[in-house]
Amino acid sequence: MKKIAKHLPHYISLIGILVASIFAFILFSYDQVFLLGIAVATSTSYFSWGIIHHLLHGDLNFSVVLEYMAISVLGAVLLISLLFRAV
Amino acid sequence: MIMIQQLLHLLLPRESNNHKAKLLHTSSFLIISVLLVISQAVLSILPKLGPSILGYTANISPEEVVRLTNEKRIAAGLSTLTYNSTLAGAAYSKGMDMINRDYWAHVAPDGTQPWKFFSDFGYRYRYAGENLARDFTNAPAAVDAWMNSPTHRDNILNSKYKEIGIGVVEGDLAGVDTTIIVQFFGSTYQDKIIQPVAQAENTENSPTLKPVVSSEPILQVTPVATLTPLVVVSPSPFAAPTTFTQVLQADKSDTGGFGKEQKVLISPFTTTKTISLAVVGLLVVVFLIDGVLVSRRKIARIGGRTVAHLAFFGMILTIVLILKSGKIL
Repeated sequence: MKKIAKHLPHYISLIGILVASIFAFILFSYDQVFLLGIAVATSTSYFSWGIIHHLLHGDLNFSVVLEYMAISVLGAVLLISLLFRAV
Repeated sequence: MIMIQQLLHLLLPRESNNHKAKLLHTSSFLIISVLLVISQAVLSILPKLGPSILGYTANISPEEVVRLTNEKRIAAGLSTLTYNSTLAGAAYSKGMDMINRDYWAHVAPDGTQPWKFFSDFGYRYRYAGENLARDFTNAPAAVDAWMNSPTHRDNILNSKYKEIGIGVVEGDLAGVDTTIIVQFFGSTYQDKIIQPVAQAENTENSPTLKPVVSSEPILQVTPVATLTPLVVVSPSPFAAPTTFTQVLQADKSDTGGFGKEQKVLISPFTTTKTISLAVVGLLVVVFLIDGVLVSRRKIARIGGRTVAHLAFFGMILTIVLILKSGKIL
């Protein structure tokens, strides 16, 4: 909790990105290509957020970069596979 | 006993997994991603290997689509559209054409425009439009999807249209059993009201349907290709019109459009959604347990933020839950 309070602006921006993505998925549910773009943009944004956050926090290293990259890829695969079947 | 140890190694932070659940290691995320891609490949290849078991079961009636469309128009302060059996025949014919020639588009692979189906049935249009939908489980979901799309909504709420025809076709599209809804709009130069909407059900059941033939001169204006959904202004020359009855008789034996037996189908969307929910749900639970245990044990770890990862997967979980099946064009 202390870490969250210390980096509150970081987490607010992260929540902003994620909430915006959810709203985009609701508002543009009819546009498959646009939703694919949002899925990729959200995953890329999360990866970027992780790198910037750890860089500012001073604990960025290669394993952290790989972890954020793997999670972003997994997120993108989950969203894209669903979009491929849904819209 | 060994299995329990392996399960704990996979799900809980312990000494054996360097105090981080093995499922939350970078390598595990990548393995899960690869497995998800493979599962999608299997879903795509399955129809080519064996019998048709993939599909979307639906319960959609043309009458309901007409009723819902008119409800939207009334809500927007517009007049209701009159059900036209000729348009319905043309719409059904377009749907069957997509099934028989295996395409999903306004314009067929050989360049055949939707307006050809209007002309084939002898519908002399002044204004014409087309909305397409597939893989929806019910009519309200399809109409809502059209209404959420600005271009499709414009078609539904276009005051120039006076008549509507709906074709609901079931068949195999790219190896997947699906239900296609074709919504044709139109108005003729005469704009005669043929049947009130309340009589749509009776008309649909009647096998004796005659195409509308206008005695008015036809303006020879080239149809304009537009972005989806299609709207066109102008009539085109007509060949001998086809009737809805002829199309139904021809198609019954071909694809089983109406006489099709009910069978159990595996929906590609539901399967993907279930897999996604299981994966994300498991990861969220393991992240929560991992976060609590690491915090209590005061274990110092180099790695990403558990709270951030939880927020990211929470977003994905929300999207997985809100996404519905169905495509519009």
